[in-house]
Amino acid sequence: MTEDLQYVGGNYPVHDVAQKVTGELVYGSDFSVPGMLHAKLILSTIPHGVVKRIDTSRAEALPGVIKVFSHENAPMDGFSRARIHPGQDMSFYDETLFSEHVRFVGDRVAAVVATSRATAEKAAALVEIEYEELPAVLTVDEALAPDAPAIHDGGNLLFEHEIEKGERPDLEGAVVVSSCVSTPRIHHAALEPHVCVAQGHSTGGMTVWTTSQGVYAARTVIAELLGLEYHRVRVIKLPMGGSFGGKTEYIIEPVCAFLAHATRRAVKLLLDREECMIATMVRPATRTTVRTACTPDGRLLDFGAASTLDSGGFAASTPDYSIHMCKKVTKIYRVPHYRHEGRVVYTNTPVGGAARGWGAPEMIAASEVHMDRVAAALRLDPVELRLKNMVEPHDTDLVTGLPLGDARVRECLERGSVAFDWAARRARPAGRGRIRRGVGVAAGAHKNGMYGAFPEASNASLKMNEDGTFVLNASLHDTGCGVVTTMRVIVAEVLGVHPDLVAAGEADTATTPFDYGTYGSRVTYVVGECARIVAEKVKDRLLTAAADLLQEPVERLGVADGAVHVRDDRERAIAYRDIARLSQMRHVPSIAASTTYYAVSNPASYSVQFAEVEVDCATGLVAVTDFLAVADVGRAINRGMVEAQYQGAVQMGIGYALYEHLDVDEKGRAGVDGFKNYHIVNAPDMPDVQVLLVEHEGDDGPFGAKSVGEIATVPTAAAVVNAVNNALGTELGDLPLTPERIIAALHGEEVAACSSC
Amino acid sequence: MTQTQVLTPASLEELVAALAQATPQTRLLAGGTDLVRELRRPVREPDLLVDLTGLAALSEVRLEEGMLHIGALATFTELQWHPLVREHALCLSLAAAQVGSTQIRNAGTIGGNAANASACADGVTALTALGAVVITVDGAGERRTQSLDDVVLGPGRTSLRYDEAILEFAFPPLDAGHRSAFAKIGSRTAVSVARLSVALVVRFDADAGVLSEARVALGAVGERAFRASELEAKLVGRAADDETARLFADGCVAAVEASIPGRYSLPYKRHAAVGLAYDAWNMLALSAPSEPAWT
Repeated sequence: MTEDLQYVGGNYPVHDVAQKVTGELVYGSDFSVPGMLHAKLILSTIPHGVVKRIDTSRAEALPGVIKVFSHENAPMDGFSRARIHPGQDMSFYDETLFSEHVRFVGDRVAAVVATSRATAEKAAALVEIEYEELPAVLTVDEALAPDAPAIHDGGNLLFEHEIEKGERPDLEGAVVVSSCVSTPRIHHAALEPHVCVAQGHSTGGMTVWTTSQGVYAARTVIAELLGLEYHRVRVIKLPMGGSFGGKTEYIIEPVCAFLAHATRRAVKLLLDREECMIATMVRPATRTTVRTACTPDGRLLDFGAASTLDSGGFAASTPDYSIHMCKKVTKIYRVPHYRHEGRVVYTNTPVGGAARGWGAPEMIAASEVHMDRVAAALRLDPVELRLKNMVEPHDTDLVTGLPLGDARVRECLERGSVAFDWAARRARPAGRGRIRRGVGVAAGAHKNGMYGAFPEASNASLKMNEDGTFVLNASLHDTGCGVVTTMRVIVAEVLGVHPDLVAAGEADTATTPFDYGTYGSRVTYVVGECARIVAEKVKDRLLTAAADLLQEPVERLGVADGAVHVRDDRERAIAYRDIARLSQMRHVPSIAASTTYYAVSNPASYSVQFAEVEVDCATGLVAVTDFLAVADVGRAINRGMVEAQYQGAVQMGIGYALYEHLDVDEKGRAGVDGFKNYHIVNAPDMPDVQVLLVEHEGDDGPFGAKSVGEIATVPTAAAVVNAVNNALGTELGDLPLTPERIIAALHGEEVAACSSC
Repeated sequence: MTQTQVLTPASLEELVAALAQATPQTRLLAGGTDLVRELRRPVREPDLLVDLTGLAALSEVRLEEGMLHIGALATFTELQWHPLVREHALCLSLAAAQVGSTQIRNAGTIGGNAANASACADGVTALTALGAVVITVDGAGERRTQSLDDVVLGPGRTSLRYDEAILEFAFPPLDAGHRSAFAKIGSRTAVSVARLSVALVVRFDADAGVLSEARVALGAVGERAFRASELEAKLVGRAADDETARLFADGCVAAVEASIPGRYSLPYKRHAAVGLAYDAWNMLALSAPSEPAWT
């Protein structure tokens, strides 16, 4: 363990907490610029068809309406909402600003620009649209039927992939177990809706303010689509009220930018909740069958999986998302042979795409529910079975070929079992009355950035002010989970100053250096290490300057409390403020440094989670009564924030397991339009979530830190489902386990899966 | 652009005068928990909004001439805690306590609950079991007293005319010989719309050891809350024991099956009705808690 850390590992509030509490913070929905216009989207009301006629005359006659835009007067070049990088593979350019061929209820048909939001809304209702309806396919099975209507040229099978690694051992005498798990389409449920403001300048350039997870990628998508040079598109990140992946891709930014460019005005596009639910992106529905073979004593010999993913009306990032479903199991278990085939299918439903965990919650639901089936088949305790198969630190991931690093999943399981009193709780009878109690466990894995797949790197500059305070310049994108604070703590630790003395802002393509943004669980591990290194460089400069001033060799100097001191004579010290002043007098350039950091590894982050549930056999309602999340975090930079991340992630995972689903009816309509009828878990139903951190610092993140944001929610749903199955003696695998599904199972009745796969 | 006129009457006379200006596009504002949401996305903007919240008298709860009167503007929070409601209409207090969130209960009113006519309105289910009448006034100053059943017709449908406002509800107060209960099943513990609810009022004759009166109202299983009269008749004259609890549960299931035959939600609701019935029954505290036999 790293000793003597002064700031790392403490508890710090999110950087803008005071502004949030006082209401001073200007969120995107409150943000305005002088003379700003307002846009309102008009969305398809049918799941599949062609726009035959758009009559905008009544709308455009309304005082205050500037113009109505649609496929008739907007560029119809295809774009990929998922494109991060100009040269990126796996970008599917199947989407246009406005659709002539509409592909789901919620597809963008037109937008009204007006002087006020109310006028834009009123005008939107006056636009008359005539459709020629086409037959719609609302499930994967319908989409793949031989006579199914093609949603895009090339058919509905958007993408297929297959991976096979390792050697299949002799399966003589092996126990074979099969299972199938489906997961629903769900809403990300960030409390803040999608919002963007774009200002078209008379020079032809533009400024875009957005609640995005990556301003450089937003710039790329906007600039390419509008044919602008990159330097003429300035994208600035706004404070963000949650994303969970829902704001990772560029959905409303290109639209808003186009409207601003076309009108040469500032335009705000703010979606309402229903629009966020159906017209942005959903966590895609999946179905995965798993077939394993293992020895009678429980060693995995073969792991085979086949998954199907419902992409919805456009590809977005779903092909890549599906591929990543193949990269989860072998991070957790030693498997001699792994085979996974996946397919991604277009349907006439809301678009699937980036969601926290990027395929991991889906795949881990399938694999960890499966592991409990294997345990049952072998009459092994689920913890015991998992321990027989888990990877050891510094194993290599069979599928990716990358080292797993200081992989502590086994330790998470062992320590968690003790802390949760697993053996005693598991041995307890479920009960025979109305309330049945059960416990479940699941292990999850996720990554740390994009090393191995992408040129993973980040940039940062750090300067010292003349008073000994610091300013970090990096393209930070805080989704609300404390990225800015994390960076300040890292820099503060290196430089021996309180984090309050380090300023850090968020991303702005005009002023902050290139960075991909907040996704891929890369920020702490990659950007954080970049911040640490640049702080080390500034520290070197300080030491060098101080060496002259103190007449001591650098090797004898140390930093603490905002000063450089002589290590074995701490009375002899010089404050940073004085170094700055004296350096300037000596014509020494300011104390500052810049760096580019290239990631050198991509270890796994792990979480093992334990759930206790009580199931009401009369109503089918499940109460999660206790929960323990064990986290292999390497090193917590901001302990309180890590714990809070886990608590929020468990809330999300319980919803995935028990409550949430965004289905469409036979006409392709979602039937939910807000949190009144789309239920997430609220406080009265939340257990007290305990978080146990496993810290080993064996990898290449700053002070040993590894990712938290995504892994935290990866195994939650599986743990809850396993607990319910334990309580009821069932083999439920279609998520969510709604009261209907549970009651039907208890009475031996059938109920359709929510998943469209 | 259309303009909405807002009137805030402060007396009954002013209310009548405001209602006299009403048209079919006029809306009445009470707690606003449904209406404000609707107004944010207007299909058609109201010409006139009559804000009832200035009428302090309409939130009164009082006992008068042998009837308990509940003002239309009484909020769920007020109903939850009001001593007269606790004493004489406990099932209404219990229902009010389970409506929405704290914020909704602080703003939402019993009059709005009825006028909005949702099939799963918790307050309406309780008032149905209590045998409430609805007292209204219109733009001509005319008062009408109608049974709740004649006012609430179905989802979003009432017999209220556009110039008619609910003033209050009235029903015979429950006395010391009565017990009442309300139970509901939502999709989560709190802030949840009822998927199934029951209000139960019984009178227990301690000397004879039997139920001498029984009223059962079911909510969220049909167009509107309704009384399960067949079941009520079966309960009268029975002891307060496990067997009666089972009969009550079976009767609730039968009533649910009869109310929503073939409905998508029936397979679930017919099973869940058993648990709901036992929850309500046990709240009466007439005997040790009963539980159905589980397999």
